[in-house]
Amino acid sequence: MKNKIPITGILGGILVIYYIAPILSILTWGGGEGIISSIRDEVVISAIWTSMTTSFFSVCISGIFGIPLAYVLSRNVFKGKNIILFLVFLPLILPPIVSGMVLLTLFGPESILNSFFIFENVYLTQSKMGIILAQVFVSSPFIVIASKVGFDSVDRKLEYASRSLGKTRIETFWKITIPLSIRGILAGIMLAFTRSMGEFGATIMMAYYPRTMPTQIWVSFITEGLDKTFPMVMLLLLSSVIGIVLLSMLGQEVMTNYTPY
Amino acid sequence: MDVKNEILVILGPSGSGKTTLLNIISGIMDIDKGDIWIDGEKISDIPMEKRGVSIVFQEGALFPHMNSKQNIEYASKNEEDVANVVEIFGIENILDRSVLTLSGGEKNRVSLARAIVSNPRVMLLDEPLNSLDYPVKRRLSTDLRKILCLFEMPVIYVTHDRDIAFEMGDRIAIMADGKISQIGTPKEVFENPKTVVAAELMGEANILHVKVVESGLGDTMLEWGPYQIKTTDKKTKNGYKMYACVRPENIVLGMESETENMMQGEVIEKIFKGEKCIVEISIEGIENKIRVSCSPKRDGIKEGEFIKFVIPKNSIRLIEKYN
Repeated sequence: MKNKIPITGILGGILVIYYIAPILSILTWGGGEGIISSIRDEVVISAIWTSMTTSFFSVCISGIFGIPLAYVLSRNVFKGKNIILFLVFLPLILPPIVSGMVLLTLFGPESILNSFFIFENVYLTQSKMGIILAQVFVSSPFIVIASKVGFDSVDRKLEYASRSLGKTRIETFWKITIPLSIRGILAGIMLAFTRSMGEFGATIMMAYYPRTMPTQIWVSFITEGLDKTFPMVMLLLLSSVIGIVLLSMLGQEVMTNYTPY
Repeated sequence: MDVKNEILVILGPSGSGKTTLLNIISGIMDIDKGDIWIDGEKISDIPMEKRGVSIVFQEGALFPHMNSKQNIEYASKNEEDVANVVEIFGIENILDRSVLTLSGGEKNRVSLARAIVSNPRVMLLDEPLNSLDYPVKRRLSTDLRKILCLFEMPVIYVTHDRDIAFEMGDRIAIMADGKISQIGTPKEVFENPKTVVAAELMGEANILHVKVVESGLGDTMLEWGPYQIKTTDKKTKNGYKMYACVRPENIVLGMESETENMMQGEVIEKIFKGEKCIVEISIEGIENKIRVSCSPKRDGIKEGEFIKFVIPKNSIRLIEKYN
């Protein structure tokens, strides 16, 4: 009886195998030379650059607006809070392509918004701005939700204690609330970054050019087939992994600084 | 309610509104009615960080991402002040420890040191010793009183523990149902509780439902179920329905010669309580049992037997209100 695997372990294990199998399968698909040559390909380099920079800015924008929203949702009770929570979840449940459509009606060439911005030489679609708008829409909920979970986990008495020791709300937020909820916030940032890197449906509606990595993969796939796509897929996989590793390293660093004991 | 440079203990059962009162004074909760003043300055409208009111919570609310020293330094950067409180609280050897590894008593000391070093005008303590083991609680409460007296500031200490209230308080305020019914020195409140709740908070008490049948210059005659008993307490009028409070330790068991207020009842249970025994007696025609305390060494009291006892008339306190 001792070494018997429980049924939960078996069921969970099957799902884990289902996660690993496709990755192992793609690793056996083609050789490394394809990757090396595609790294030299300007189109590929441009796609990597576009994805990296737009994802970076999307995460920054999502953080600037999403973390305060998470704090408000965690700390305040007000009318319509559930509606706001529903709105935060909305981009997660909408099919990405639908999100793209919706955004297009707001920022597209025919929209009032764009007619205003065009005079300023800022293009809201078919531009990096368009990609960022799409990425923020689909990935910011991760930051809001994970940060809210982080804020929820902080005992409010700690904040009250800090304020009763003469510290302002802002000081308390930076010195007590943020360090204690940093895990949640970083988890949100990580998820948002990888979601932005992989965003395809909404992005392609907003901007076919400049091409992001997922767009480039799709284009390669329909024009040249799976073989030609392989190096790009590997690169996206690799860049996502590197992104996660970098963020976790940063997270570890932050956590060691904040929780030395 | 007016608090001077003293320790005022708010004593009340759980749910009586003690913590809410502290939350309102500290600014955690907004005040609905009335105002709060410190040294002539109205503080009820200003943000909590500007009130100069430091609150210490039950579990200490120490910042888990800082060690003990950083917790104290968070409240004051003045090295001299920090060194001073560290010495007073005797916490030199735990300064570098993570607060997560501290014992309950140590957490309390650090949390109190942190609150004091912030130099507040008023200290609020929300049952800070509540979660501690009995011996640690005893030791710390005596120390704490001495330390708080050193700083000569108004301290409001909330608890539901009568022993702590007696040990800590210069004055005790009785709180029930969101209202303070009585404020006085521990002795005053113990001897003259104004409400049934106060009487019960001050220790075990028999509460008799009585009706005043005769009051005047002499003793007051009370109707208690089918019986009539006398009390020396005079603050009443004929016909009043009141509560009469008698402490178990004041009732005399096993008297043989006929005296005033002598009664008889059946011993239902004898409960060993360490330094004393509580005997529960059921009296015919009275719904509630009477609890009498006696020495645990006393023999001859057996469950099921009938026993005579006397409620001395000067030990009966008349109380008008429930809370």
